[in-house]
Amino acid sequence: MTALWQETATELARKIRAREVTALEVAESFIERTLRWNDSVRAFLHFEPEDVRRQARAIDRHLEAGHDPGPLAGVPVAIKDNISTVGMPTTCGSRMLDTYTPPYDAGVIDRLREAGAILFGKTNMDEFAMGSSTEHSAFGPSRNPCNLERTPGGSSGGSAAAVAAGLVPLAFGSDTGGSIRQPAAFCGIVGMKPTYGMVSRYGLVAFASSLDQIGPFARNVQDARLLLGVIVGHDARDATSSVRGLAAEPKTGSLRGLRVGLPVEYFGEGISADVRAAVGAAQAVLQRLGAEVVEVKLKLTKYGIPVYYIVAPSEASSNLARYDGMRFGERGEGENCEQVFANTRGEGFGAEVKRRILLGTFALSSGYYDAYYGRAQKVRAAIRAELEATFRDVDLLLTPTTPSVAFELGAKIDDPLAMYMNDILTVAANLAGIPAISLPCGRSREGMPIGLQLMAPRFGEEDLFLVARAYESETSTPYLWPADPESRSRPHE
Amino acid sequence: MSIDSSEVLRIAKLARLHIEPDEATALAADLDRIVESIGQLNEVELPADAESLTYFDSDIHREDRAVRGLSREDALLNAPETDGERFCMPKILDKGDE
Repeated sequence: MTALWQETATELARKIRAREVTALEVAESFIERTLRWNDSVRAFLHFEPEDVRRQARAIDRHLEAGHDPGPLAGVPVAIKDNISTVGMPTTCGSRMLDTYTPPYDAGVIDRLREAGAILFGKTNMDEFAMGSSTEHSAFGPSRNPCNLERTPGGSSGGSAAAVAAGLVPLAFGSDTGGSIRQPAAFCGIVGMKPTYGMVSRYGLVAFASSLDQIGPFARNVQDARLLLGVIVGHDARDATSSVRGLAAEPKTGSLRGLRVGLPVEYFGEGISADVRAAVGAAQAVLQRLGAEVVEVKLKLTKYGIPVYYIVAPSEASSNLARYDGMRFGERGEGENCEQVFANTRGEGFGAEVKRRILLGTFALSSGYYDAYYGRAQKVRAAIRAELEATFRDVDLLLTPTTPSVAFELGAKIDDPLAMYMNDILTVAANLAGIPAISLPCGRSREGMPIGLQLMAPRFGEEDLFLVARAYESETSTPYLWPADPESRSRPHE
Repeated sequence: MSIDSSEVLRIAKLARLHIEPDEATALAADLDRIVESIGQLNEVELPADAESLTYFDSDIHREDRAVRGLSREDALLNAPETDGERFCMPKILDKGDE
């Protein structure tokens, strides 16, 4: 028999709304699972079982009174700890915000509450979303449920680990250069970065404002679409948010006539043999389903990382100026304002955040601005133009999500450049503002999940879901639940 | 362009970020490698009038109308130091020569 924690979000919402189970029964199932697992995977930074029960009882009372709580009635959703939540801390994985609890909810949190979801807890992340492994969290790394010695990816690693281990059916991540898609690939689940503007960034603690987007994690495509459907649409508090939403029903039909581009540069040097083979097999599946697969060239691909590592740190150096110890967060010592600012920031930020603030300050500083930031913005425009031109020829792009499977904790922490290369296949979507989804597509020889990435033109979400669902149902196997933590030895601390 | 620890300390001052001297040495080595790898952007051939992408077009506008924001109480909630009505901060100006 399927336990409640193993159910899909779609099925849980249906059962709760039909009053086949109560929201409290569902909550208890996930609470028990989380209490059993969280010490091993360290997905949650904040988790209060009693608060979860209180929310679930409120949903049950709503149903008893004859009201419909909404499309996510009683469904637990984990929230990355850079999304503002009233009544729950929002630390961004940083000592700087160790004691911070926001006085307002993010736009996506308003939507979750309106949809009847349960805010289950706040998940671990690389400090201010800067990283690819959660090892830059000030509170210690999360672990991959498939292998506790390995990273779940990052920066939204806690959310991905929570969904993969069945601690929640859904979670929010944020994706600035691949921070939803890479952990989804590493943990064997679905993760999507929507079109820039599709989801309100109001209340998302800003890292790089022209790149950041909130998006869903789920264990299947239908659930990912369900969560995205709740959070899309205009929010007057984010000037970049669009009026576009999703259709009432997903697109259906055959993939016949669809042209899928395979950018040769995404399959070059540095892509592991297992990843190459798995994505090659996925290509064959899409062809079998009727899609036409053609090779395309994206010559500017290799410049994505250098552009990203100028644009994102430049924006971060400006966004993170607000952490000065005056209005929130920790305050350092000092005899005057300048010293207090510098000491607050020197003590509150971790090594990677400091690196990026310095890099961004350098790229924006007098004498270097044109050579670095100015040039990066021009190459960024060229990357976007190259993608737009390619989308005149093909409907979607198929690539691996990451060059290799999840690496061991500690393997790249001392080499920032090696860590940055994790984003090489994902940054283009952020630079160009287009939507992209990562789907599980098999396992490596050592049993670690592999992800494939589909990219579409701006606002092409429904095409991504159509192809993703077709691929998923064609290759569908039962979800491979990770072995219980008690049944295996604990990793070394 | 090469970055040494004195350059790191200069940038850190601009960023209002206290860095210990030994931290500066390690950061200089990292930043030097990163900036060198970023230098490959100079290979990209761009037309003289290449455009720059700094934002995406938004398809929506709103009226310029005042709306209620955070209450004073909420705004002060997380502050390290207040007098109940305002944020308190150290002196900005030195006394100077008297």
